[in-house]
Amino acid sequence: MQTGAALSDNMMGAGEFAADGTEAGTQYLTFICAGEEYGIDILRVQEIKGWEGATHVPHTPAYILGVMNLRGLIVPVIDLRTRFDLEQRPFNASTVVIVVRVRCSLAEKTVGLVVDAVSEVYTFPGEAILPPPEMGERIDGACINGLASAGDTMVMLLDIDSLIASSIEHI
Amino acid sequence: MTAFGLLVILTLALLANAYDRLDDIGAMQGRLTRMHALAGEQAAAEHGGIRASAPRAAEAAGEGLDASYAEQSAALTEAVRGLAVILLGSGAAILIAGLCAALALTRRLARPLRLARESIDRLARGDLAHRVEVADGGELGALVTGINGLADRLRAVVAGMIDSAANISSGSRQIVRGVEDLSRGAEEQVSGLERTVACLEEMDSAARRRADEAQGTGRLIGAALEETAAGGGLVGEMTAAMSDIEGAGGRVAEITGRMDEIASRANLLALQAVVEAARAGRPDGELAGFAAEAHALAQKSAAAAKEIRGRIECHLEKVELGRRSVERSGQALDRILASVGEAAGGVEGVSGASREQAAGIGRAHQAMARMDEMARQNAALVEQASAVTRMMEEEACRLLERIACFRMHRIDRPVAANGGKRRFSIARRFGRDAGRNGMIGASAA
Repeated sequence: MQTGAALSDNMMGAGEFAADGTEAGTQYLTFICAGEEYGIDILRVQEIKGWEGATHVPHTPAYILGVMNLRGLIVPVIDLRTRFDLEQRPFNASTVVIVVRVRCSLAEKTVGLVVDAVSEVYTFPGEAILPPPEMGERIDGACINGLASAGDTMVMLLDIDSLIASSIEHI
Repeated sequence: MTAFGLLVILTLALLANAYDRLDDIGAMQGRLTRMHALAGEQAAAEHGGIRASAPRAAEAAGEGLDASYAEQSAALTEAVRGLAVILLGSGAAILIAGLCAALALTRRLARPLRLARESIDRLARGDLAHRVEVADGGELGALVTGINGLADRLRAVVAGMIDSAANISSGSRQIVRGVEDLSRGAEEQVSGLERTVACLEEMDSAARRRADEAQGTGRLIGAALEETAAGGGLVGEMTAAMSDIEGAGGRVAEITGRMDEIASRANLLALQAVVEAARAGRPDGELAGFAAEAHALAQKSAAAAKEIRGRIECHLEKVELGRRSVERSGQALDRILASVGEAAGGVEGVSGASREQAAGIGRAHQAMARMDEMARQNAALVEQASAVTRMMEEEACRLLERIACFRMHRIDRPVAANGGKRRFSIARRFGRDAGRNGMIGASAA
């Protein structure tokens, strides 16, 4: 509850901060995946839905759960845990699909990301974002733009364009 | 012997002479008879004349006849007198000869007969040891031998009777001792039976008391059984109530789950509103403020729902614990019920066994009473047997005393002088023999 209130105050504070000047920072929607908090640019988020299942498409990588019908638009659905080679866990009531718009191969695509839960909306100023550590090409370093602190937790800011591009270029 | 023959010859001669005289007498008698017949004829012939001139003629005839008759009668008398003398002489001779023969016979017969009579007398007085010396091989010798044989057989018989009487007496004493032992045994049996009967009566009363106690315990256990059953019913009610509480808690948890779900949906919607506001380019506008407020509220309600669910779950855990403990109580009560039932069965069994034991003891008591009665009868019979045996022993002693008048062995002292002492000595000797054989010899004396 205290954490919730603190987060809420933080968000309200971010709102106030944003009200002071639009150039003060960028808003990020954060979500939880395997205990870690990730953030994506809020302008890329189109919709947040509860997990309702997907139609499996054969001969696709394991992290492609299938496709879903989003008001007439067929959207591929990616399981981020599988994509990040993390431990599998059965979906539950807090599992959500974050529908994002990405630019891929000079075209705009709509993709669904399955994560454990959405968390918050933070506003991070540019100087608060730290560059990702150099950990070798094996760790998909290109997919992380940087790191930011929110209270005592660390938020990994994802480069959603390159992530989706590397994920669905095989399809 | 020769004298005897001479005497006989002399007698025969005298008898022949007398016979001759008898012939003479017969002839005379014939003559007399003829004369008498002639006189009769004359008398008859002269009867007619006689009638007329009777008296004289008759007297004349009569005188003649009387004279002849007298003559003849005198001759007859003479002859008879001679015969008498001869008879007297021969009789005297016969008497003398008989006397001589009697003397000789007496000398030959009287002594052996006297000896035989004395022997028989001594036998009659009981001296079985006496024997007569056999004098010759004649009839008298046979008589004496027979007497001796009689004495032998009598002695054998009396010896056998003494032995038998001794055996009877000793056997009687043995029987008496045995009967005394038997009597003591019968008395001990009777006393032992009385003690046994007393013990059985105590056992009987104890078994009855135990049966009563078992019955009382059975009643108590029955009451406990009812109480326990009532407790089991209460536990069942408690279990049902716990299950109701659990169900209600489950429903509350369901409601809070739905609240949680709604809160998370509201949170999603609020985030969606924030996203929309950002995309609209007015992240700090009114819409963004409302969205942020809705997001906070949704999060608060989600937290509240989570807290409620936590409390409900804690509550449900406690209810579950309570239900389990109630279940365990119910199971314990069931086990108690079963145990009490078993105890009731056991007590019932004890009660039944006690009753059967009491009945068995009663039967044993009756059997003991019958045995007691029989033992008393036995004792009475033993008393009778003892009396009869004592009587038998007395009779045997009396028989010995009676037999004691027989002297079995030759002794030098006179028989009649100390008969009583000898009798005593026989009895005492017999008693000593009996005593030597391990018997009580006092009664024989």
